[in-house]
Amino acid sequence: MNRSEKWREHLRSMIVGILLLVLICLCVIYILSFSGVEEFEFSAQDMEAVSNESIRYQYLDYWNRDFVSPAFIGFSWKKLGDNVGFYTLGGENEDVYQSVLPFFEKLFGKEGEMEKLSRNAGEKLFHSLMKGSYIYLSYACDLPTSVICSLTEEADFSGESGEYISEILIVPEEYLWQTEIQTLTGETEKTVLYSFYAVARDRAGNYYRYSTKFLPKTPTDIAFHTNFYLTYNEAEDCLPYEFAYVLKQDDFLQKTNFSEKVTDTTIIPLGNISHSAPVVFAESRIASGTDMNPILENFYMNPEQTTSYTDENGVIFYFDEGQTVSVAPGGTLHYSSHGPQGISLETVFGWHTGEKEYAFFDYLGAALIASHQLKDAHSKTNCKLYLAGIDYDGEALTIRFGYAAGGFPLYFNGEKTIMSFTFSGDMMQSAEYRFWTVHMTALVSEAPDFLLTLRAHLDVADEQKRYFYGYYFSKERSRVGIDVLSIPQTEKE
Amino acid sequence: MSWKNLKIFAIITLLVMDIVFAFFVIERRYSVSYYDDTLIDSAITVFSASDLHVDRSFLEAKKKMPAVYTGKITSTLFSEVTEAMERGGYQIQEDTGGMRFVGETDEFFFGNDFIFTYISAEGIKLPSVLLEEGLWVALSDGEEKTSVFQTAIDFLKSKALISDTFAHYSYDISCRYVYRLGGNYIVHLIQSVDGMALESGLYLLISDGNVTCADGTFSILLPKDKKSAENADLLNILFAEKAYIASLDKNTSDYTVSDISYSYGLYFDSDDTFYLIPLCKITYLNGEERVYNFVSGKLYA
Repeated sequence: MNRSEKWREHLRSMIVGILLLVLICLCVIYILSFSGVEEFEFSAQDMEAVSNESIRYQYLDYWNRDFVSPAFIGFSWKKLGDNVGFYTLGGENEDVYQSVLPFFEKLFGKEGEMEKLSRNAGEKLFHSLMKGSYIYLSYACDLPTSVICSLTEEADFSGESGEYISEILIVPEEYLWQTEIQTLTGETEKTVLYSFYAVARDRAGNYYRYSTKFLPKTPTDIAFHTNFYLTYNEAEDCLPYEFAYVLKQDDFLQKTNFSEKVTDTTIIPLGNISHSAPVVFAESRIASGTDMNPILENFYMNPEQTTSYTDENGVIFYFDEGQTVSVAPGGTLHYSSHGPQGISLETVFGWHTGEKEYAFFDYLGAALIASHQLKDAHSKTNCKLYLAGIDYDGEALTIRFGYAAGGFPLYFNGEKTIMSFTFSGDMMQSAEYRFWTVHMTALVSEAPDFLLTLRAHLDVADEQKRYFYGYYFSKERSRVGIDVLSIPQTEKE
Repeated sequence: MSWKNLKIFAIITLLVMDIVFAFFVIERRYSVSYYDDTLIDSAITVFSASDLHVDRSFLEAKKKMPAVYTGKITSTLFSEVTEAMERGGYQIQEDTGGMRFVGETDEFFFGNDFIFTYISAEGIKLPSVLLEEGLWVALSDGEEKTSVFQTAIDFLKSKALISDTFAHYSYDISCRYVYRLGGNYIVHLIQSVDGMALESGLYLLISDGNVTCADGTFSILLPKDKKSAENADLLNILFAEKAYIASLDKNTSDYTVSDISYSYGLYFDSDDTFYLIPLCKITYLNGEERVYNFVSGKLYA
């Protein structure tokens, strides 16, 4: 075989190889084209996730501590001194709230387990824990644990989940070890670490015990230890307190049936330490020149197309395509829609949602957007909006908001709700807004002595009430500092 | 048979098989990109029976397979705009849902969801609101339209709002309509990426040769990544439309598809990633428009 023949032979071999390779490739491509193995970098499933996220994106900016923070956080370590607490409504003392959020992740998250307790067993356990070492959190209303967890890293916005609770006691369970850890203020302290569990209850008297599979393994893991107490008992704003249930009663209190007239978790400030808070101005009126256009626009009504009518009681009605806004002379605005109409969530979000079914959090998000728009349209107040109630009757979901100043709630003629929104299906069907012009002034006033005021109340009290610091406004009281307020235990706020 | 002849035989056989399989692959590719004639005929018959009339040409055209584009909203990407605004004497204010740039006489708002507002005077009506009044007349192509469009572009450039620094893909801004009322104009601008327009656009009001206010959706940030996307089937969308029409009152007008067009809709992730998702718009002769997400196949608007 000469040289050129050898080359030809090599060339033939190469051609056979190449053709064989091409054939294999073509076979594979052909087969794959039927099996649907074609990989997309962005699938319909990814789209579903992004679609849900896009709705959330519209309200995440409003979802902050002002909205879901507790009304009060207390720390107790029995051997170390008086309990200390902070008023935290409306996002006040947010670092305190931030420090306890990791507990929620472990108790209400994937690692958490819940056991419902009977009323008797739950109350007994709750009362016994109130006398020991704990971290106590009290919310302004019953909230599902998924909402309480919504500011943690394990927040799950997919839907309403967990029990509605308003008070939580986080307590030590088992001794783990003693170590030196850095306090929240940066100092190194010796401490004893414990595993933890929680007992929570709602306003109706349902009790739950929450445990976690999580066990702290390093000093930086979340654990129950002394440093929460040691950090906060030196803080400037901290309030030494005792629960009414645990308070040592003097003769006067015993004579007035203190335990029967004051709820167990009423916070009684101790000693002569005075608590100061900003003076708040609030006025309920609609000036004759009040421009209603921005408010009507908030309900997506066209002021130029609305027709108005005033009835014999002075209530002004604005009508626009099946929607009505009425404003009573007392300063309460009602929005309502007729029949299945209303304001779609798509309109509130300003986002194309197609045929999406909304999750519980989407309704909360829509209410948040609507509340901020209404607040901005009427009074650009420096008070904070907080979640004051969630009611669901099986068909309609009502979300209520109140105002807070300096960590304390504002009450208007005995009501804490300043605005509420009711949703049904994918529509906002009604809303209510009280026309109160509210703002925190630069003035600061001393809080009245809690126990002294309480003694005066007890003389005339005929039912069990929860007592707390707050602002109370009425026609006669427009510029006030904090006062001791009370709510009957049986009354749904 | 000698070894040499065997190789020649193998080459011929493999070549024939390669050609046959190449034909199958091409035929398969074609069938993926185009609907089969028989299928089109059957579908059109079924649609017609439900008063949905679709021209064959819409189904005979090559199937659209648009990609998804993504980008990240970062402060670095915003810096070019913020620096330009600061140089122009604007004060930056963080606001719920976006950023506000407040100047001595005017104000910009850039929403995190790309909502854009510009106001140069208190109480001025936004162009999208003015258009709803129905008094404005659309201009046809010509020198006047080009000149007004150029004024709008010059304004955006002067504020550093048009920049291709971060554009990884073919990016364009075009004029969809120019409307006139007296001496005032409203320009409707549309952004497009790789030749496909973003669904919503920006409206600018021009009075005395100056932009006095603007509103709409405007993406200052441009996508950085392109992803192959699972696309919805146009036939499935039309079958969804058939079901929609069947659910309507029978006295409603005849539903004849006058146009099927594609655009990009904006979506967002909570980690500040934005997505340009293909949308498919079905327009009927009666003026009704229905838009579908072209990835999920679900109704968008």
